[in-house]
Amino acid sequence: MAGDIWVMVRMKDGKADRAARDAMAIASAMAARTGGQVAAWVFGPEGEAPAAASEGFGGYAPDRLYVCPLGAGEDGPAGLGDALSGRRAAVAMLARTEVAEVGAVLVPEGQLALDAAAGLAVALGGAVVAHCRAVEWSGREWLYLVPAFGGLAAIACPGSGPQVISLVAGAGLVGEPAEGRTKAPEVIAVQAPAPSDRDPVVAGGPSPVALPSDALETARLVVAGGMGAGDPSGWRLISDFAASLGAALGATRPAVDEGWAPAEAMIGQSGKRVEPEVLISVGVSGDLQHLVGVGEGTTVIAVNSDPDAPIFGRADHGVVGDFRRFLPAISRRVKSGPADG
Amino acid sequence: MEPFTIIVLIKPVPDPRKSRGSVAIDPERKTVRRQGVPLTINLADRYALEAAVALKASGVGKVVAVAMGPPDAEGAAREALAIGADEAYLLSDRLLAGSDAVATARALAAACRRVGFGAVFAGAESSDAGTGLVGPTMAALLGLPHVPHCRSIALGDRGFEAEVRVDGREGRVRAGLPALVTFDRLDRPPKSPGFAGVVAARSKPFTVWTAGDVALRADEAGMAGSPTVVREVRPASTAKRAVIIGGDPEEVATRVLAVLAEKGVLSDGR
Ligand SMILES: Cc1cc2nc3c(=O)[nH]c(=O)nc-3n(C[C@H](O)[C@H](O)[C@H](O)COP(=O)(O)OP(=O)(O)OC[C@H]3O[C@@H](n4cnc5c(N)ncnc54)[C@H](O)[C@@H]3O)c2cc1C
Repeated sequence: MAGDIWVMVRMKDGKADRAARDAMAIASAMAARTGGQVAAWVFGPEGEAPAAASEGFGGYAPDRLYVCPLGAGEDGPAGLGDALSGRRAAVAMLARTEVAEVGAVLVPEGQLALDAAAGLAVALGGAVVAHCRAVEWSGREWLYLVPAFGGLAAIACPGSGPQVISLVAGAGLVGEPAEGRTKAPEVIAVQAPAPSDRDPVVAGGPSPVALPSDALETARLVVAGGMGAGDPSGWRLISDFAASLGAALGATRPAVDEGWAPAEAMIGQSGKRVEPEVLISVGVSGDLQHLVGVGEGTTVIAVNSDPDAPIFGRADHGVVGDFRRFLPAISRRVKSGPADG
Repeated sequence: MEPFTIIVLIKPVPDPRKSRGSVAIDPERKTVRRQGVPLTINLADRYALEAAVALKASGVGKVVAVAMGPPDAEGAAREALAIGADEAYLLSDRLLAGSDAVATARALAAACRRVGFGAVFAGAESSDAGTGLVGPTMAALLGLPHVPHCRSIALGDRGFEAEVRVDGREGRVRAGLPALVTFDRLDRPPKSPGFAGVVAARSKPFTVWTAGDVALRADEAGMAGSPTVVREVRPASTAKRAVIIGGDPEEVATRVLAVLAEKGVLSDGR
């Protein structure tokens, strides 16, 4: 791989989000190997974007900062129109590939980014990788680590086209971090491509709304249940346990597939990302595709009958045994008032 | 509006309820070995299919299911007929084995061009590989607007109007025809084919296509046509980090509550 490393930056509350900082650290390490530059792409309001973005780069400033006012003005910045502008984002970026050779494009996982990623990969004859949670130099090529088959698949892109990589929240670099970059970037304003009939538009009717973060996403205490529940009566026990603690109830995908919990309760790659203060995991094996939905800052207490379950590799505290033995005792104690033990 | 065809992409996936723990990795190809695992229609694709069949009442001419997979995916394609598709095609060829998201999208796009369509519906994500990339990549390949994460859809005189949920936002979206729409899994069970549907399916056209039938060259398909390769699959780390809380349930309860109290997450502030 040769050329520049591009990073698509997602803005949140007027600032580059956490994912941008992680992506810039990875991009800097990649650019150090290709000898290319790092360019950040901010799709947001022209005036405030550069300052707001550079704050979020955590000591890894890009060489170039492209600012493109996309989505704004359709239904407001960061409205639904933004998320639907992925194709136009790709068109804006493609126009600049004439002046720069692009080695890789790092995008934060999400709808805007996914449509842009697919558009770029198709137009440039490149590769695209989703759900990347770590990036590693093998000594020969870059490997993108993606949860798969109960472990991690190491994916490479041997072709000469650009490598478009969608990074999950908290994605990191394996190995030595790159040196910090503090030089102020060259800021380049890019016009937003005009919408075409190839872009879905926000329809009239009730104006688009941000989905309210639900109880699961805002709870400080979450109980997550898995297949270890065994049957509906086991699930009821877990759900009663959550209620006794005033905790929100989450679930693994198989528990949702069983119909024990609604799809809205799913935590993981295909579901929600939660970051409560504490998560009590019950009858959950701890597969990565589930654990990517649990924030790094969360203290995890796991109850699992298998002492070798991978969940104990993520949990801070473990209880080895049948949840049916332990949960009722905890619920009883909560109800009976302050612990005296 | 003239009646038009909706193609629904159907991914045959290992039945999640029957395959748990029995799906192995092929050490050569580093892909999932599906032999012997019963295949079914990917869950999100079922909602796409239901939506397409429901639109027949608003003037959609024909619903065509297109699947790609091994020969034993025929059952899944026929299931689509039983649910209400009018025709089904199975793109099945050794050349296609090991296709990544881009190669899969290219093959399915070629099949869609051969069938002809006014719209393409698909699930937003499959339950096995689950990249979520095939839909958006096909939209780019076919030059179509992409309506993502659709939850319900209607047909008006200016095209589709859909309710979507994307990037934490919800709203109504409009797209003219032709368009590609990807559907989420929903919180209600998908329709299962009734007896009448199964009987009717027997007399509906079902065709198996090779890569050549859709004008796909060998270097565009399968591993040769895939810009990504899986170099290795690393097992989950077995390193332990948890401090094990031992003892009888009462002792465990005391220790667990102490952690919860320390973190201040009990509702009464204890
Ligand atoms: C593309 C893709 C996307 C995916 N996305 C997600 C996702 O978003 N979220 C998700 O959760 N999964 C997802 N998965 C599935 C994931 O790979 C795992 O299969 C799943 O997380 C496992 O769920 P589980 O832990 O409930 O079940 P299992 O793996 O079956 O584990 C059950 C656990 O319960 C324990 N147990 C059994 N009996 C008891 C008992 N009496 N007391 C205590 N413990 C007991 C067992 O020891 C075992 O560890 C995805 C998979 C794919 C392929």
